[in-house]
Amino acid sequence: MAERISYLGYNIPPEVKNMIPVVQKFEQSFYRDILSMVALYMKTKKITLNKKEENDRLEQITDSIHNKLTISANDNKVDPNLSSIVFTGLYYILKIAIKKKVNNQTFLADITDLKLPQPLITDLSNIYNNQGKDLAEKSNNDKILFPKLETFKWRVDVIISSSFTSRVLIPVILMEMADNNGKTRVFEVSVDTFHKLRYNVAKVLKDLEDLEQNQIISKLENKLN
Amino acid sequence: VFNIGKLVDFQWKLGVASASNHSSQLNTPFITVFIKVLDSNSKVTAHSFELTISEFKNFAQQFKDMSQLIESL
Repeated sequence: MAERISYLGYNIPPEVKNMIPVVQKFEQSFYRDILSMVALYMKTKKITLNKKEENDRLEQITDSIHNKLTISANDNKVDPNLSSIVFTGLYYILKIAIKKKVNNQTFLADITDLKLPQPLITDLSNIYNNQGKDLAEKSNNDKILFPKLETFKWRVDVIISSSFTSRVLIPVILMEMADNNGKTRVFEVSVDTFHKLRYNVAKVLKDLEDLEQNQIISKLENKLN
Repeated sequence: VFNIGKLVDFQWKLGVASASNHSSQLNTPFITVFIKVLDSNSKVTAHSFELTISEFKNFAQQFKDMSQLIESL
């Protein structure tokens, strides 16, 4: 008879292991606060922070979470380090569940196996059921990527004459690309280079279509969704 | 010597924009100017800019005024 292994893995991560004895002593309101802070953090954290304002805002949120943890720890007469341990443990439980796309029953079964206090189990599973989809979508979009092309403008010019040539009628293409880092580039493309570019774009498009024909890729997509 | 650079190179070209991603029939003439400036750090920087016909008329008029003044000195 094959026993199913918990979604947390054969060896439970130390962050979760360390939390279990600590959280037994906490009151429900306290760990409810911590759980809501975990959810807030997961919704606002981002890997790539291009603009300084986003970076500052994230730092504000993490600082406020840290302060709230310390204050509520002092209110409940608990060492602030312990509240951080609980925060990390709850964060890991939710993070791994979202990453592995665990379904609700498996999640409930596995955290019951962890022998956490029952109200905490109910709270955790509520959060996972209600906000799991949002958090999963957010973590799907939070990736390390190259800068993406945002705008692309072009213009076709016909050069009539210039300071060292006259009476030449050569067409030239001007392109302007802006990526989502805010960097804008304007450049000229001769008709020759433009034909090479067009050929390569068509080739890439064809390769993309060929990949979609490839059955392994479509099977993988279906398995993930 | 403060930082007004010296003009090293001045090139221009006259073209007609025939189409763009906004509209397929523009037919607008314009002048592109490309200058190279040697600044006080001995670095040559290049700048390029475009002028419409009316802006270019203004530009050319100012140069004519400058040359008149210099000749009168």
